[in-house]
Amino acid sequence: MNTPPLSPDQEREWTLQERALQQERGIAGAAAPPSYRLLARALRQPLESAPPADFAAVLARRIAAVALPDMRWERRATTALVAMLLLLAALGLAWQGQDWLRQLLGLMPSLPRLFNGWSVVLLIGLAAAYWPAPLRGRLPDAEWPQR
Amino acid sequence: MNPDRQLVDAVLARRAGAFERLVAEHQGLCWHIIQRLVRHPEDTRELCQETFLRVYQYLHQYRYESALKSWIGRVAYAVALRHLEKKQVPLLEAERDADDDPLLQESDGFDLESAWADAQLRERLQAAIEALAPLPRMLLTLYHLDELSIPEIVQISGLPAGTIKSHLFRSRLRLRELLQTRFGVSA
Repeated sequence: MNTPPLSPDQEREWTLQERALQQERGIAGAAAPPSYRLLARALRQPLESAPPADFAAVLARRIAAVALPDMRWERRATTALVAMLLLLAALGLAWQGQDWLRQLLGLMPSLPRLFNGWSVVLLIGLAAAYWPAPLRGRLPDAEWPQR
Repeated sequence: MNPDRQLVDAVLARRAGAFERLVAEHQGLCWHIIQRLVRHPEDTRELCQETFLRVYQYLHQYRYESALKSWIGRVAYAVALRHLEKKQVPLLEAERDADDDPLLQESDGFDLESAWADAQLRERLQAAIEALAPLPRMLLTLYHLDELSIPEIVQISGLPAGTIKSHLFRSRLRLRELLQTRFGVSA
């Protein structure tokens, strides 16, 4: 939606428009054409409609009624717990995991057999169920108008 | 401490009255953006409510990269834009080539105060502003009434600064031309 820059003549007209705006805001400066001042004054008039007087209070009550409990502490605790478990698992694996690793590596050649038709269906189902989750957390950027 | 940060922290901590204060502080800008784009009063109220519900829902994602009012304005703009897209209302009308517009000449003999006192003229001028396409109508309101700068409008609308300047310029030139040709104002 890029537009070409204003021509020198248009830039001069722009300056007159801006002077009128400044004068209507009470800022002293060079004189502006009265018609632009009339226009600037009209554009500064409040709109005919405005939010109802109790708009903020009603909305806040509505939010309070439907708001989920504050789960920030629980989320942090869960993250810390998962991190601790992963750390313990890594330590356990390093400490006495030699046998498990050998057995796991022994299983590797038979892995392709696991990917029969049902496994693929299961994977597709899981992807369909969880795919939108990362997208949901990206508003308002995700809603950014693509034009 | 940055007042935006104080308010956001208070809302996130669910302090009593914090969200109501956030809405009260920013409802005017939200209303102007949506009202100027959609015009319908009932739709404006509903979309404004939707905007603040989204603000509440996603406030934890606000990273202070722009002023809070710009962030909220951006949400309002996106909500209104989606509404217009659903209703298939164009943001812009097919405009005449601005190069055809003669740049108007100044003349003497125009009394600003008596023109402003003319209620009929004011009414017709407001009607001409209302008749503009949604996007220039909103840009004029944000620039003149809300006194936002062009960079602030860039943050809200995502439009390039040059495009915003061009819309402002052409709309004002066109309105001034209307004043002169249709309303008989000779300045």
